[in-house]
Amino acid sequence: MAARITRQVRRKQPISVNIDGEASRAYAGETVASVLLAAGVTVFYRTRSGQPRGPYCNMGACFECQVKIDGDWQRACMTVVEDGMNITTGARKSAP
Amino acid sequence: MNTELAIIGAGPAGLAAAEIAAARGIDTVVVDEQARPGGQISRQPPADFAVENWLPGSIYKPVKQLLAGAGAPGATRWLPQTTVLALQHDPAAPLPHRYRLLLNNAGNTSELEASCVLIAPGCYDMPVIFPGSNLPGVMAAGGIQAFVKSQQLIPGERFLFVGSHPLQLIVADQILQAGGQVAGVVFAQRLSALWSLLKSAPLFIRHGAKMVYFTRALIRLLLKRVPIYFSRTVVQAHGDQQLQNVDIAAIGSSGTIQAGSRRNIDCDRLGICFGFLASSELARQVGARGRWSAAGGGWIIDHDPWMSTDLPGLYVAGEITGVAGADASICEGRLAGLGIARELQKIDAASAARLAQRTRTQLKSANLFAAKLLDLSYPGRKLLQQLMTEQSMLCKCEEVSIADFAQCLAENPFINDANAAKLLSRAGMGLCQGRYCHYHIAGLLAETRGIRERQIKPFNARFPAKPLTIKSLLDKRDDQLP
Repeated sequence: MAARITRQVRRKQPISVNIDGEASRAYAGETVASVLLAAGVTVFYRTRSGQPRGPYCNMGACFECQVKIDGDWQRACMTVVEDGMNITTGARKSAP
Repeated sequence: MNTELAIIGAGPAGLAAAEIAAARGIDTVVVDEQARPGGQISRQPPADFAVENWLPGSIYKPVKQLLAGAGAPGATRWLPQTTVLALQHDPAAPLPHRYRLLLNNAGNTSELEASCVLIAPGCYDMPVIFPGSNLPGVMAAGGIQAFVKSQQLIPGERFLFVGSHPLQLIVADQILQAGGQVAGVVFAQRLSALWSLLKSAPLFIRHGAKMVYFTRALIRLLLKRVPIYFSRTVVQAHGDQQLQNVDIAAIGSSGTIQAGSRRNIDCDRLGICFGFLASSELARQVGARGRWSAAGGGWIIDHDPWMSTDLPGLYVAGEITGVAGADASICEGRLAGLGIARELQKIDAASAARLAQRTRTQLKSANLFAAKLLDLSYPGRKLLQQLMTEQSMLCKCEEVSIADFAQCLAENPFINDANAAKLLSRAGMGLCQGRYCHYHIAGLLAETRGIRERQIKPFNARFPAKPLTIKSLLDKRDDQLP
C-alpha cells in the first residue's frame, strides 16, 4: 500500500471523498490517483476483456489510471480531488 | 484570442524560451497539462502543500532557477491544466492567424491563434512489453518518481526497478530516502558498461554535478544493502489482480536471455526504466518534418540552428528533437526564444547571434554527455523483442497481443506501414492513441519485413491529440480563454 510522506511536508485540513460509496480522507492538491493508492485501491478500471489495470505513467499519457468520477471516465492522475467527489473504481469498459 | 507566441509545454525548454520571450517583450501564452510549471523533471508539489527542502540535489538547480518567475501573473499568460488538442498551420493566413490551437481545460475548449509556436512537450517513459507488463503495480519509473517529487507519496511498499537507464538508481534512492523499501535495481547491461560511464574523466570534469549525483545515489543504495543486478532483466510479472512478484533472468554474452536462470523477487511495485520516447504527436499533426531515432526517442523532429522546423514560424525544443535531458533542453529553449525574437524582429540578427554563442557551446557539451548516456542506456531491439512473448499485449488499450499482430502481418504480406497495420490489427486505435505501441510496432514491422525503422512512416497523429467528450467540443467558447 502507498504512504503519504509526512516529514518536511505540511498539508491543509483533510477533505472527504467517496470511494465506491465509502468515505475516505484526502488533502487539497492531491490527485485522485494519490488518494486511491493511499486508500489501498489497486484496480482502477477493467478492460473490455475484464483485465485489471492501474496507474502507469502518472503524467496523463497512458490512460491506465481511468476511474469514474461523478459518473464520467477521467484519468485519476490528471484530476485534482474535490471535497465530496464520488469515485468508482474497478468499473469495466463496455464493448464499442 | 491571439498571441505572438504560443509555447506548448512548461518544462525546462518551454520555461527557458518563455524567459527570453518575456525579456524581449513578446506577447506569449504558455500552455501546459500540469497544474504548475516545471515539466516532469521538476514536477512541483501542489500549491496547497508546504514542502521543505524540495528536490535538494544540485542537478535540479538549473530547472529550479527557471521556476522562480514562472507561472506568476504578468505579461506572459500561463494556461495550466490545459491540453492542446489540435495544432493547425495556414500558410496563407496573415499574422497572427498563421497557427491555430484548439485547447481543452478540464472539459472547456477554446481556440488560440499565434504568429509563432514553440512545441516543447518533453517525453515519456519508454513502455516495455512482457508477460504481466499491464498488471496494476507495474509502473514507469518516471511515474513513481513524480508521485514522490510532486504528490509527496510513496506509491507502494516494496519496489523493484528494472531497465537500462541510470535514472533508475536515482528513483530508487529517492524511494529509500522517502522511507520506502527497495528490493533491487536490475540493469540489462554488464557492470563494465556502467563503470565505463562512471570512470570517464572528461565527462566528470564537464558534468561533475550529475556524475557525483549518480555516484552518491549508487553508494547510498549499496550502503543500505540494496542488491544491484547486472546482465539481467525482467521476464515476467506475476500477481492476482495486483503485482506480487517478478521473475528476472540473466542475459548471456550474446545478448540472449537465459530462460533457465529465472529468479523470483517479491515486490508490489515494479519500476520500468529503459529510456524515453519523445512526444511528437502535435508536430506530426501539423506536418513538421521528422525522422526515426531508435535510441533517441522514436519519432523526433528536425530543426535548424535557431530550432525552427521546416514550417515557417514553428519551432521545437527539448526532448522532441532527440532525448538529451534537461540541460540540453534549457539550451534549446533559449535558442528557440532568440530565434523567435529574431523572426518577430524583437532583436537584430547580429545581437541574436552574439547572445546565442555561449548557449551553443553549452548545448554542444550537454549533447556530448547525452550521447554517451544514450549509448549506454539504449536497450536495443533484440532485447526488447525477446521480452515480448506471444501472449503479451502489444496494444494495451485495444488488447491486441503480439500473436494477434504477428498473425495480422502474416495474413497481409503486402503491409509494411504502421498506419495500414493499425487499420487491420486495431493496434494503436485506443485511448492512448498509439503512444504505448507505436515504437514497438515500428520495431516489429522492421524485423518482420526486413526493412529499416526509419523507412516506416509514423502513425498519423489525428485530432484530438488526447481524447475528450463530445460535449466538451460542442460547448466550445471561441474567444474566452480562462
